[in-house]
Amino acid sequence: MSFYREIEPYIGALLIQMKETLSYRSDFVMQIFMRLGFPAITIAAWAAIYGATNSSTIGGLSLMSMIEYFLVTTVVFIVFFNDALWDMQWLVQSGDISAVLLKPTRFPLNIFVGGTAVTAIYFATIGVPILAFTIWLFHTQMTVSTIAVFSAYMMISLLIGFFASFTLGCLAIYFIDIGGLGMAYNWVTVWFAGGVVPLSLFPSSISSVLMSLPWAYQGYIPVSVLTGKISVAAAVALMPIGIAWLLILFAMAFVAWRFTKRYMDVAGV
Amino acid sequence: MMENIRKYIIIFALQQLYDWKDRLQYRMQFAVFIAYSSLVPITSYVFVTVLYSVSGGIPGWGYYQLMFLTSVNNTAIAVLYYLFSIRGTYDKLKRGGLDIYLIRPVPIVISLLSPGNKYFIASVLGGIVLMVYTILHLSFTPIELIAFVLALAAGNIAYLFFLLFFVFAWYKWFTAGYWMANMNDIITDAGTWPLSIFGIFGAFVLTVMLPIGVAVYFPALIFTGKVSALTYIAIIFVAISLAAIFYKLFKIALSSYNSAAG
Repeated sequence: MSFYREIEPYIGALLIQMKETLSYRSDFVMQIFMRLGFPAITIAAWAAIYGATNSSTIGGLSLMSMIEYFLVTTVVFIVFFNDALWDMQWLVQSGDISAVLLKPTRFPLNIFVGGTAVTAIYFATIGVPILAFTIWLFHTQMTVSTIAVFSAYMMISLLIGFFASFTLGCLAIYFIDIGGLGMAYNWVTVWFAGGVVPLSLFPSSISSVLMSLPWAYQGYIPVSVLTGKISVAAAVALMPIGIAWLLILFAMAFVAWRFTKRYMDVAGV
Repeated sequence: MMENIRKYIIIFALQQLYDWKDRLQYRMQFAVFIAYSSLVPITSYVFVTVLYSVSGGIPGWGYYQLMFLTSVNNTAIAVLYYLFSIRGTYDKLKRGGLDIYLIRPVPIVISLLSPGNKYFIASVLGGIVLMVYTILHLSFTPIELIAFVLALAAGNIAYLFFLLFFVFAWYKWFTAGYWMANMNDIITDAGTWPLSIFGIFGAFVLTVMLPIGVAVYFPALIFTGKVSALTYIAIIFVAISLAAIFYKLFKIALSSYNSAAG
């Protein structure tokens, strides 16, 4: 009972955020179409590239494998792109942060729940259909172990995305406008997670560096597990590194929030 | 006439000056955004290089030709972002902020070209550097260079009027239109590639309905040696026609604008 009382405000925040996301229906519907635009262009481009290349594979990937890769990437990116940074900037700029801090809830959890609500809606409306379509079209081998490891990576991906975004979002209280930082972070994330070019296509020296960074555990590795580019055993062996990154980013978010909170108390926010 | 043009240029320059002053208030933001913005042209270089190192690239397009197309696209889009903000304009429409523009003694288009993102100046400069670098690896004549600049200017004016029309027309019927910024990102992403990869229907849509083709692809095509004099005239004609059509449509959409303040 007391546990329910504890989480009740967050459930409320989750539902409110979901309603807010769906309140502008035309915008929501168009956003769905827009999210399908990038993979469509990327797939058209790769189809042309394969057409011009004598070999049936590029970097060990056939055209169908590449299409499968980018479809699953679209789904995984829905999960790990987190709006915490933008939400926190908005709260600081509008002054609403004072009102949120007065609520009998934990601020970081509130931000997490708000972002997760948006993620959940887009995952349900775009992610699940794309995933189902991909599995059906490419006869993706879905064993229990594949689903379990993919789901675990999705969780790691979601949390890494949140902690990184939240840590950067804390800077909003010092600098007010951190939109540039947000865009730069998104840019790095898209590239380093394999959103434009699969990491395996980079020269091996660059690829091995990229594979050791947290973004690979958010995007490239989960996608590769589901599409069979990486075996389940190899993915499990890599998971401790992903968890280590998760813990490092959690610690960074924790410290950043401690400093920010202290700064706000001094500034009288 | 000349007096009016002089006045408009001065007002436009003053708008830019005050917008810059405004942006420079947030110095950390300025430094980060400039750093990020300068990364965008590097992206083109990395992407095309990786692409051509693992594959034969795009049919009919060499390494430097595709790099040129990509850099033209990024530069043109950076100029657009520097001058115009889709999200900012939509916010103004929603909150009645456009009203102040309507009573200024200058055409509204000039006022709408002020609140863009000034940080994209780094992308513009970086894009120009990459364009010059790639041009030096392509064979061209001075006439082709002039023809390219003219086609680029005409095409980008058409694309700007298309965006203006689209934003104002959408506002007429719908309250929320933030998706349009994403739409622009997707269209400009498509502009990175030769239109031929999208098939005839895709190429038609991206030329006439969402005119990124006239803004980027056809001007860049001049450097591939595939454009005859007749084709060039057709490119200019289509660009100017589209600019005129979208400008007219924009004026119609603007005339039906109802201020949020009533």
